[in-house]
Amino acid sequence: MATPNLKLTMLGTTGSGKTTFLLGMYNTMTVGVQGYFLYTADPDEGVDLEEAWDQLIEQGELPPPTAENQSKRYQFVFNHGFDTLVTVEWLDYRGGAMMDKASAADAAELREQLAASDSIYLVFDGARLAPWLNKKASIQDVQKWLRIGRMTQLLQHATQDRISRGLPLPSLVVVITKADLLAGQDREVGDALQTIIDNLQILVPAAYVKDVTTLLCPVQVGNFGPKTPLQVDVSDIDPMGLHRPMVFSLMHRLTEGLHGHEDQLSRQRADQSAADQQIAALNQGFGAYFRSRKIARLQDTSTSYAAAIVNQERQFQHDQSLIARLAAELEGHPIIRNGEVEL
Amino acid sequence: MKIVMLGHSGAGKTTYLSLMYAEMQVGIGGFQVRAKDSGQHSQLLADARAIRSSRYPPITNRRASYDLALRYNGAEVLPFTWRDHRGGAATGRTSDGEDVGQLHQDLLQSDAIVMFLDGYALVHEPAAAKNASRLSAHVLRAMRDRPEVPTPLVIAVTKSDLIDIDDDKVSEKVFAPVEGLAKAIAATKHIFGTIIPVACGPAPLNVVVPVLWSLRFGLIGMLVRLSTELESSVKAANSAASLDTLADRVGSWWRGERSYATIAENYRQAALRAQRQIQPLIKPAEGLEQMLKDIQYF
Repeated sequence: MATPNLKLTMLGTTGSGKTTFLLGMYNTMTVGVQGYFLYTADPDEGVDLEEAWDQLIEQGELPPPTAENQSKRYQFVFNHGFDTLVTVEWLDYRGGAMMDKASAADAAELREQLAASDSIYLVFDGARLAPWLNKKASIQDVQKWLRIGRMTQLLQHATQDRISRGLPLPSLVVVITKADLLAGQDREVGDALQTIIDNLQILVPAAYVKDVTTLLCPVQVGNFGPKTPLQVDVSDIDPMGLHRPMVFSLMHRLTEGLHGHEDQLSRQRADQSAADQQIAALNQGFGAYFRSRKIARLQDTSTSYAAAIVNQERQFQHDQSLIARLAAELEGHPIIRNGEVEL
Repeated sequence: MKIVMLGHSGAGKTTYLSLMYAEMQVGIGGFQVRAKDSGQHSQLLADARAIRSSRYPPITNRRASYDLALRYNGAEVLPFTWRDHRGGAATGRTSDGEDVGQLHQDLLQSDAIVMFLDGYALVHEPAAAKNASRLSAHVLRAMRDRPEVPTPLVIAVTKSDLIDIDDDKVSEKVFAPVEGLAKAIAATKHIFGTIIPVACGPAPLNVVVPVLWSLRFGLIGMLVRLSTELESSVKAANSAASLDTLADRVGSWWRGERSYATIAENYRQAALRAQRQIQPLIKPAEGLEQMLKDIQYF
């Protein structure tokens, strides 16, 4: 069976922590989480990501801000043990379409990318949410800082494109970076997340579209404080939650695949039933002897359907079991499904 | 048989090879290892003598390959190649050196893998756990593309005489970085993994176990191949013999072809050759089985 592919696009403003998140996510997953491993298809690219992470955890050097218009593509392989579950095409988008003065060409390019994506990460800078949580800024300020209007517009186009092509809608992950900054005076990170959930429909209206599933996922690489230094104290490094967005994207992809398995199983059972009925009809009466060759061919067909059904059922059960294991990693994280919040 | 050795710089790979060779010169349970090349033989023994005088070999800076042979009671039973890669090859870029790609090829094509972890560093140096986890991940990545043939993988924890491996906290530090790899191996039917604490210092520990564990699979693999050859030759001989008739013999002679009688005889000879090759391997295979019976594997 061909390995499924997952197309993933990451959006966010400059300085929101996308690169640091990616480095932390990769280096957490490359050494394995609950038997799940992630690595780059190009081994040399993996070495680059490992070395950048080493610079951070050994020297305290955060990756430098990436220039605009330098989108980066990665090809990852996601394994459980030695079994490849999915290949991931990851686009860290930094093109002009997120800017206020986006050209039509930039916008069209990103729209096409988003319409082809199975999972979209909206990276929200925790440092930009903190003033609002502290009641020192309005939600409109947050929408402006995080370019939520632009993101919403792009997401709407993407979902409409996919609906018009009969494709399933992408999963969304609202990745809140620098999650350590969500806590405040008399406020834990959990309280902050509750406030964000309560206002999520304003912040990310696309999460409340029918048939869209969204994970709200706080992540952090360390407790670095509100300023954005290029150098941090290595003792403040404390990675948390970095693997969960990828686990969610995979779980969603597999869940979508289950519907495909079910449809295919229904078709195969119907085809097998039709073949069996034909066999029964041909076996009636005196003329059955003269129809023996046709009956034999139909019996072969029925047998091959039976084998395909067994394989399909096995794959279905395997994917269900995997989905359950992945879901355990996301326990306690808010997921919005069809407009309803599940905890 | 090909055995590839990998691990970070300073983990003790070259030290291990030299001391293993020296110990297997003396032999154990009737088994010995000899280098085919006298130059390599002398070099390995010289390195072992230096190590015993606390003069350790320099860090390996290129791939080295040794042609060795396992002997049992003086007779060669299994030739093998032992490949030693420099520490950086395991986690370096392909542009860093040809050996990075060569190590990847060796991991795909070798018959056994010995992965070295520096036990002392794992307990005392925080970065060592990260490095060991990465090495495990690289091995796992490389092994993903291997064919599903029985493969032994030994994780040799070196410098075990400098740590208390029986202490729970110590063993957790040592085994945690390879836990993912061990679980992945345990879930396969074709990779046989084991973790062996090794010491090459004044009180050697388990020095010969990694090599003998690996060679055991080579020997078994050889026996399985020869047994399959014997079985198929016997079957083919019987099949040809059942078609042997006077008419066939005369007709084949007339046409200038081999008769079924000749074909059957050729297969019988092939079966005999396979049987002759199998016989000398049985006792060594049983000997290794007995020596290694208490080694836990996953």
